[in-house]
Amino acid sequence: MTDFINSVAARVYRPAEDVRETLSAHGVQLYTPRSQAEPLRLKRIVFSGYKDPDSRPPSIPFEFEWQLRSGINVLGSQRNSAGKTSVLEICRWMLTGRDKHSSGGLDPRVRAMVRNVRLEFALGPDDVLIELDSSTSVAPGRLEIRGATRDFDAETMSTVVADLMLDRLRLPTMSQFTRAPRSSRGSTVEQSWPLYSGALVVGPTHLSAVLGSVDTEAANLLQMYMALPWFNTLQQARAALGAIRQEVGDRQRAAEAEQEARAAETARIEAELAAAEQALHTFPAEQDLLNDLRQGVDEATEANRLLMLLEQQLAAAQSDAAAAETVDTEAQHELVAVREHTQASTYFRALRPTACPRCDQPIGDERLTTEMAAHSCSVCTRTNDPVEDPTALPRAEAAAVETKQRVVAAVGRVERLTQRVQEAHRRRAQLQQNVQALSSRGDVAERQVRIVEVERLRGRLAERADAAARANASPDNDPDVQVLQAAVDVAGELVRESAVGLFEELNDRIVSLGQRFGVSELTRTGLNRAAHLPAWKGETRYNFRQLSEGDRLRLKVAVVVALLKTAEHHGLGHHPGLLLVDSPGAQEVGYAPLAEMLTALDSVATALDLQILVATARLEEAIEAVGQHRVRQPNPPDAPLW
Amino acid sequence: MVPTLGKTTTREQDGVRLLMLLRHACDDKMPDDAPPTAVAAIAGEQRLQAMDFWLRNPDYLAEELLDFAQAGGDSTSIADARRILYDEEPDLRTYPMLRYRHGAWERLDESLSLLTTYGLAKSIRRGEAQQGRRDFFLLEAGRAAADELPTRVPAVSWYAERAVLVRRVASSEGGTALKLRQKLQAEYLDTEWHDHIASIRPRVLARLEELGE
Repeated sequence: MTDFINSVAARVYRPAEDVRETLSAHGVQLYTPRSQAEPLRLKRIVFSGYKDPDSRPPSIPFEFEWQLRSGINVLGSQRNSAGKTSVLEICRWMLTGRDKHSSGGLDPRVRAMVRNVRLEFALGPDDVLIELDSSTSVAPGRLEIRGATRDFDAETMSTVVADLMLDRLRLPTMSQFTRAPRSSRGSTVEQSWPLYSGALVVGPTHLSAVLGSVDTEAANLLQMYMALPWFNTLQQARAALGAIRQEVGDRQRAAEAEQEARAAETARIEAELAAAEQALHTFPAEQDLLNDLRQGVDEATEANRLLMLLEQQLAAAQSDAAAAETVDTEAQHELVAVREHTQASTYFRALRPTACPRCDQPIGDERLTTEMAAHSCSVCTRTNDPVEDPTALPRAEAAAVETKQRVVAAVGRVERLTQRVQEAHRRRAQLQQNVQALSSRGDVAERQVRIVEVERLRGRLAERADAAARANASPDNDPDVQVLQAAVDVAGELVRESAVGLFEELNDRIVSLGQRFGVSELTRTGLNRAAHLPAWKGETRYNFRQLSEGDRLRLKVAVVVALLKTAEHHGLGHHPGLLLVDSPGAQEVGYAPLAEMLTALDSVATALDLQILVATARLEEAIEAVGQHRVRQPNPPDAPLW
Repeated sequence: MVPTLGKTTTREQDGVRLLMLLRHACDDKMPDDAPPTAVAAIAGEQRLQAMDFWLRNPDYLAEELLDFAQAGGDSTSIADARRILYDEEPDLRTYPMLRYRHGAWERLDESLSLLTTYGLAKSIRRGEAQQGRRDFFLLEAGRAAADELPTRVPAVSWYAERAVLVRRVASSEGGTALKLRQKLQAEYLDTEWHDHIASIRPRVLARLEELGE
């Protein structure tokens, strides 16, 4: 079992645990040998009803009872439409819970006539009873085994019966992924007992398939009844693979459809993205903006610093100017005073003294003469040497000029600085305005909005790219598909390995049995896993469908019997050893082939402990071949069976 | 020519001011005992000191002119006040005085001696009966000198014009009354003794501004 997992894991380069998990998730079970089916043997069939079911009330009752034995049991009549096929169909109805099958089924008219049915049979060591009342559409019934009873109705009968049969015949349910003809869509269906039961029946309506009644299912039925190891795993893996491929394909198609539907939308988004990216590029990068802002702040700060410096210089200059003006005012004042003094002194000194200011005594002429001659004061007679400073006026004038110049210079400096301060004020205001504009400009926020828009559009395109990738992805790349495909491959190889030799053995038996059943000139058959059954007469090869209906019927019986013989030989196989054969030889003219076949069947049934029910209108031949005691016939022989 | 400590003027300047005050700000009448050549007189040193204060402090004179005008005097006083403060460089024509107990005061002896020597003016100190009052007289020669001085000495010509305005505001009030008027100015009153009396120029300018054109 581990080898299987490891083989699959090695093929897909995945861990064994992943493979085990994937297979389990998809319902693929590993092969475990099953024991052989328990034999199914009918013991007694009883049914009754009215032959005029449309009458109100019906008034022509009937009842049929058939005690069956192991080996061959023949239901014979001298005429057709005696009710033989219906008896076989009623048996199959009871054994499957269904009165209709993919090929054939109980005649609706007969179905209307039948009211009560009771089938007693042995399943391995247990006696089983199935009976129902079909007088109403509910058709209540019961299944009894080992004293336990399960009730059912028309709805649930097949489930109840299938549960029992699948369990006792060791048959698995079979998952199949099937598609309707000319349809790309399929579905996984669980094939079960009603289909399997086809392998118990051989009749004129089932002659297209080698086994069972549906040729497309023949291969599966064959391999399943052969109990080929890994066949069920192969089937489950195939079914899961079909489903997952469809699922992946569905996703792919959905993605393709979505991609197509969204192509215009995608183009629009691409255009939007291009426009949004273009718009984004028109905005300065955030770092640039920050740099601008930082530079603006630096410039404004520098301008402010310069302004403050200039204002300090202006204040100092104004102070200097004020001081200069004060000094100048003092100098001018001094100049005025000096001028007043100097000119007044000159004026007064030019006057003639007339009296002593102290005593009012007149000053005589001799004193004035002396003053002029000896430069002695005519008032106090002391040497007249006025303490006048002749440089005072020039100095005062020079000082006044200098201070005035200083004032002019200081005022000029104040004016220049005032102008520079005004300019610095304007520059600072301009730079502060720039900073304000930069810091409050909307494009920082708007740029963020643009970025978000671009990212949103890119995200939408990425989603679309993902969808496109899904659309373009091959299902073969799906991890589960790969695992399941590998499982199918590995299981297929195991099935083929196990089938080698078995089919040769099987064909040998088919040829032998076919010859005994009366297939003339049969020399070789080529049954394979696909349930193709070419046959050679002499050296002439016939496809199964090219054979006559009689030969096909004989070969079908031969296939079932060969299966049973091979199963017994290998201890494998799920066929319960019950075979219902309807109307062998109906199409043949002539005596020998049917008798030969019945004799052979009788012999095989005895040898293999089978139970074979044969319905035939060739009553005498049957009695002759198998004996009166094995033939259920109407009385009189040309009457209906029921 | 360096003024003595606390003094802001020279003897000659003082002499010129005294001469101009005697010529243009003299009393209306001459005392009976005036010297024979006296042509004008100012009775009492306080009156003379008060008028000299106005002559030396154009801002105080302008204030008095505004008061004079608002008290019903002629409207030209406002224009005169404006001219003094705006046009006549008051900073250059201000010679602050020291404050004493009775107000601004400065010795007149030297300046009067100068005028007396040249026979331009003289003073007479009265006896106890008249509380030692000192009267100042302009003599004929002094009147002639005062009249020719603006022409001969242009630097001092403005004293003549200013003395006329001083006479207008001083009217014929006595020296005590004039000192009281001057003390009504807070800056004058608040000046510590022996300090130069502070200027009131900003206040007078503001007042002129209020009066408008």
